[in-house]
Amino acid sequence: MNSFIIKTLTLLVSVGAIGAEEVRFNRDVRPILSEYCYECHGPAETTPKGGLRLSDGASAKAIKDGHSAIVPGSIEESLVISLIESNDPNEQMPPPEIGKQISADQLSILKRWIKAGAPYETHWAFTAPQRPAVEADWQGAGVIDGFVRRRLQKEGLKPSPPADKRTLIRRVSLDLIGLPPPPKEVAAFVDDKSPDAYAKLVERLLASPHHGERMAQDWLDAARYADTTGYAADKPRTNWLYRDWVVKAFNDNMPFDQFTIEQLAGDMLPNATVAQKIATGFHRNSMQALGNNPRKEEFRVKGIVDRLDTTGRVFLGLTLACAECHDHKYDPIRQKEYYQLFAIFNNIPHLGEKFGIHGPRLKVDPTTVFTPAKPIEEKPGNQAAENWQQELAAIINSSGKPVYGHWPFDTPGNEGTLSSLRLDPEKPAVVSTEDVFDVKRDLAISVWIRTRSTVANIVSKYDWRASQRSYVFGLGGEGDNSGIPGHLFAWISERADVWRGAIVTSSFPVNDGEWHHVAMHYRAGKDLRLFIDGIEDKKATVTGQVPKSIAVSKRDLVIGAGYNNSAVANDHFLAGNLDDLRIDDKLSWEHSPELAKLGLRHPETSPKSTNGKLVTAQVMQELPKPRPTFIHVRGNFENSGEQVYPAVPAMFGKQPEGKMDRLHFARWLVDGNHPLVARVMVNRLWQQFFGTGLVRTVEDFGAQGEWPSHPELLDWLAVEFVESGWNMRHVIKLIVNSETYQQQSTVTQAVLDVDYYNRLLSHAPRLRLPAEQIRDNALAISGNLNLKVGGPGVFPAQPGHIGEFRDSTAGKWTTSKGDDRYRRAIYTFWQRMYLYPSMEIFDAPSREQSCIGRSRSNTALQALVTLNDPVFAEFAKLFASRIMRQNLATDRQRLVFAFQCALARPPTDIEAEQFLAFLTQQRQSFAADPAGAKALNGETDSSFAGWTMVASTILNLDECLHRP
Amino acid sequence: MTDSMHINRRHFFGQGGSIVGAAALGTLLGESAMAEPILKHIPQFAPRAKRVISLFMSGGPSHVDLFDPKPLLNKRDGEPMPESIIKDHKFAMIRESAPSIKGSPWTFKKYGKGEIDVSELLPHTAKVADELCVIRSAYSETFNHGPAVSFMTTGSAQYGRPTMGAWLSYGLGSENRNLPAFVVLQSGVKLQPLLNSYWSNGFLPSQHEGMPLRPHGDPVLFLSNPQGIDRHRRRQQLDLLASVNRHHHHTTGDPEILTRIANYELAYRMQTSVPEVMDISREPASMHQLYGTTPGKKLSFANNCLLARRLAEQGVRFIQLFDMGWDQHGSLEVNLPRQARGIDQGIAALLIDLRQRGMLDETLVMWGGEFGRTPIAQGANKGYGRDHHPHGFTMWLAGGGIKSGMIYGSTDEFGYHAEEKRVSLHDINATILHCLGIDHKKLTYRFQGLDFRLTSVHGHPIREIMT
Repeated sequence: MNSFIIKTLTLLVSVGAIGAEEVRFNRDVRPILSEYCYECHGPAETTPKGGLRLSDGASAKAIKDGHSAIVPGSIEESLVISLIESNDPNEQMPPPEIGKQISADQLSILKRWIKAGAPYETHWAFTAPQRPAVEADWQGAGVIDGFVRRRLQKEGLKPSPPADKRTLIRRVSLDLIGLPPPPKEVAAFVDDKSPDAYAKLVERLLASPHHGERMAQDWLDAARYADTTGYAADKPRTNWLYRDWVVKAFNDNMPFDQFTIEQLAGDMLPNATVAQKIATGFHRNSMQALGNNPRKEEFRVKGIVDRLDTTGRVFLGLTLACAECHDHKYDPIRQKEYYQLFAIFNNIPHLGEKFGIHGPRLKVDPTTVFTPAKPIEEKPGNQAAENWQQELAAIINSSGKPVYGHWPFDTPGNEGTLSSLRLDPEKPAVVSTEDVFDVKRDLAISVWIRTRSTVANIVSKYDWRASQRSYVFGLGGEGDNSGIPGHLFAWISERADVWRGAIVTSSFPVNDGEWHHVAMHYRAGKDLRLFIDGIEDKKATVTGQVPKSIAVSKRDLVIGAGYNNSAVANDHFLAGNLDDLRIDDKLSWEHSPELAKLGLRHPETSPKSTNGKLVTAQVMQELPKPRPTFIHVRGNFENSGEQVYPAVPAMFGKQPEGKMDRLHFARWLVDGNHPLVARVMVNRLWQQFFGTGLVRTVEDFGAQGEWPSHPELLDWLAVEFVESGWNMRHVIKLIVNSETYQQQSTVTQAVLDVDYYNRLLSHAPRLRLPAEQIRDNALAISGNLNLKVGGPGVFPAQPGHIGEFRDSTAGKWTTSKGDDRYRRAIYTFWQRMYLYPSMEIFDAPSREQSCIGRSRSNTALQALVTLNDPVFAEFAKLFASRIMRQNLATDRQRLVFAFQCALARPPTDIEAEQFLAFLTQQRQSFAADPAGAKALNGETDSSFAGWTMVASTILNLDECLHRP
Repeated sequence: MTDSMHINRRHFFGQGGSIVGAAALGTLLGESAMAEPILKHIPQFAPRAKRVISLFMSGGPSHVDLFDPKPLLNKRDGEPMPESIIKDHKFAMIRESAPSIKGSPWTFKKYGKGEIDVSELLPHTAKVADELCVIRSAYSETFNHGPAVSFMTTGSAQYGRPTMGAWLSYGLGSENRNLPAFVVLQSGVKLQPLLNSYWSNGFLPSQHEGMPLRPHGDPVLFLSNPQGIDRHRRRQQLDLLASVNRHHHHTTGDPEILTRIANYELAYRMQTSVPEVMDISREPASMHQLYGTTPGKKLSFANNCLLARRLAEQGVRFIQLFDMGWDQHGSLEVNLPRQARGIDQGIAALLIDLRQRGMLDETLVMWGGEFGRTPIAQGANKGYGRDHHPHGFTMWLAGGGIKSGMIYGSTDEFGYHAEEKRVSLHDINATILHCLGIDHKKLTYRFQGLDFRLTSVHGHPIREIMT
């Protein structure tokens, strides 16, 4: 639960330096106005207090009652200054009750700005970046060094000398592939005296299949990828093909524009491939609750709010969430514009009900998924099927006319051919007012259906809310708690006003989009049964007493819909096809035993794939008819305001041409002209390699965000990124090949005193490894890492009783067997509400929401993990046996080997002396205590036990837990 | 403390380093100079209480059967609830269009000089009624468990915000350098799950997350050494580790290394301090008699009450007990007495014990769930229960800064809507913060461009119930 972004900290070296230098609106003034004034006098459309908008130069300088808030050039006449300096609590600004006070330094900035004529600037991040001029000798990665050094020089700081080769290879390996370099590779790199040795190393690491895994780590935080649905139920939800898609996209160095389009709207691309559809799993990672029935819509809306929040954070670097309830106080995003964006994401046929594993999905063969292939579509029936159907039809027809009603749904004039009723998702098919359907005694309803609906009625004469109960047959139990989405149900009540009757629910779903023959059969006072594809579902659950008769309801018989407190069918619409509906007093195969024997299979049923096991992927899909979108007044989805249509906020200039939808929106983001997208992405790449973004507030490039430490460098990188064809690897190479990146990480107190957070990069940062690398690094050093790429999530050992109080539906943590226990951390099953504890303790986020910057805490609980977690204890033991397996003559040589594995360097003499003394001590201690040795390692060998202690200590060295 | 740490402190607090945010760099359990709680540097008003013990009845306890007697319900038992009361109301489970009134099967009496009504289900609590300030007019905003618990623990139904315990850890820090500021204890019959979100740090720095002391296995994850490594060997190992790490600090100059060394030492101390505080067998027989606990017996709410007192003595800032099993949709007459029995003696004992030790005046105890239960029956006949009910329910406060022996606010005559002196959760949170000496408007944290607080943009301390 650590979606925490390191918060505001004033640098000793201010990010925007203010000395004798000119005051600039964007860098120096806007942050002050935003912090202290915008809440009341900002860009929100609601009338600003006193009609004054300090975010707008014209408004600020306008004359009102003979005064202006800001009079360019005159501090004395500017009301803003006199009110800030006022001691009268009635007029003082900001008002005392707000509890914020402008400091003397800030006031001085405002004064200097007014004196200089109070020039306003457009917010820097909302104007497209221009490539800044660079000096002639700045080439490639040297541009980074040029900008960084220019700034260092200004502050009187010096860059650090290059790090030694051992440090470098460990740093760049951990950064690019998330794994430490094996001793042989270290030796080869040290021995390679060629001038391009480092550049070659970088190329080799970028070509590794493990590069994609390391890059995916941060993206999966942003995409809030998890293996469960979140909220209380936290059910497993299969979407790991999406995770594998991300790994592969990074390994293929997919251009970022394509990367963006496929994830946001791959399903809408012409002739979309399976892989492109899987990419849209990005926005199916939203959490999904088990909502009680009246709140379905709430959870559907929450899903869309999450998609907007994520899109804003990940691509725009904007906090859109504010505008869900009101105009944004700080940035020019109106509430109406928020809902215009909402409209773009409002057309997924996903309802907020139940566990949310019922949205659009694909079933795909994972072995062929990332090669061009077509999704499995329904296939038209073949000749054999048609013959079969005729045979069936003959039997059914011979079974006589149903007692109450029969709808063959054959196209007039084409009776007997393959036609069925296609139902509109928002419209009931047939309403019958005939009183013949007031059935009181035995009742059998049978029909062919083909649907993916989760909650939908097939036939209904039932409206409990209006006390008009009779009978209803369909899927999902009208969303009631007794129902299961996608499963068949039937309710019958012997009283219309209160519930007195029986409920039957099938033991498996029938909404797989394939044809099924389904039937319910009520025998008065006897039983209530369900039949699927001609076979009784004997595991169906029946609750309540089967009544002796059925009540009569005032509702008309409706097909393909139901009632929700209304005389007109208004809910539970079925989307899909119905065929040959019969309402009878008994089932047709009771007329015709042959039919029962045949089993019922609709002729259009598609042949089942036989290429191994199919895997589910959660995907996006557009409704054929867009849902209407309304402003939610004060963010309340039950309070609809004005209707709005898809559009992008006006702050980005004119609307892109053509019909705005998800695909168009994705293309607009990466058309190369957007002021934010490229800056936001290069900033996050920068954060990944330097620990902090050039804009520290990676999630907020708006007025409340922080001024970049190196604005020109940020813009240069953003332009370079776009012009390189959105080539992420190009940017990564610029970064890791820069001398700035390759500096030493040692720091002096003098530097700490002026630039504690190293924003100016006078040295390379030492970064505590991310949660995943804490595991991967130790596991790789132990020599037991399983390097398999991709596949379903795995379950490494965790203490018993974890999640003993969690929901029983959340699935069991059954520890993986064999090699799967030693997989990389990225493949650990991401259980949102009970995250794998050793990763959570090292700040892995729960991914309930998108997270684009983790904390890097330093805690005692972390010490307990790497010292005591049985998993890490095992790594220490494996590492010890790896050390002892080497064909080495002395303990000193073994220790050197151990250090090489863990730290890519031999121990210093002092370290060697201390470690060897410790080894001797431990060996002697275990020699005198064979039971202790056995408890530790399962064998009494005191040498092995001693080395296990050494191995554990090395794995716990601060150096080992850091990227150097 | 090393020189370097002094330098850091000066850096953060002396040379213009922002105060808000200093805690962001701190380290769990206040080991580092950087973990100074922010409120040390923002003077507030004089605190009445030093810590909070929250007794959370997960599932939603029935106010009309425990603290809010409504004779009218019994008089009109079985009749439909008037339309005027339930108009436009949605229920979580009940789906009758005209659901019927259900009176309480239990009797109430008035106790103490405050004449507090307490149900016969809580005979022990009745004896300490004069310690309580019973708020009968609480209301919430949401009727599903997850969002409702989230609302009660964080002030927002949206998951992901910091919980009250995290806010207090952030704002006030811990009084004990061997234990965290926010500890969670769990018990009860599992109906609704308890999630990490309920003790989450949200967007606050991760060291403010609540630490569950687990009833099974290690009370703190990975607290025990691996088998074969005794305390002596661990000491030798840590000595080597510290020495090599210190040397590395000399080479690199990175002050984080010193924090890490300190945290390894803290982990070592926790290996004894945590089991010590968890070991209730050290309590005298009289205490076990008071709480109704048996050392070594399986976990219970009463055990947790006793642990809560021990943790309070150790200076833990926020101790939260979750008792599961209060979701009586059915079999109210069997299940509610069971739940009540489970908490009654432990709660009374906790209040008596804190009082005897002179700690109740500085410890604020709060009781409640995520909502109350409907004065309407769910289901019929013997197996009936009550549904979720956020519109009006009871919570109580006791101890530091709170007036005792009083009833505050009321629901309507059906026990349905909070009517007189309606109290939102934000008001309760503002009140608790006030008792701890914190202006709820000033405890803020900047996240995504906004200054968040526990009480969002709401809440007023309830003056009438504060001493």
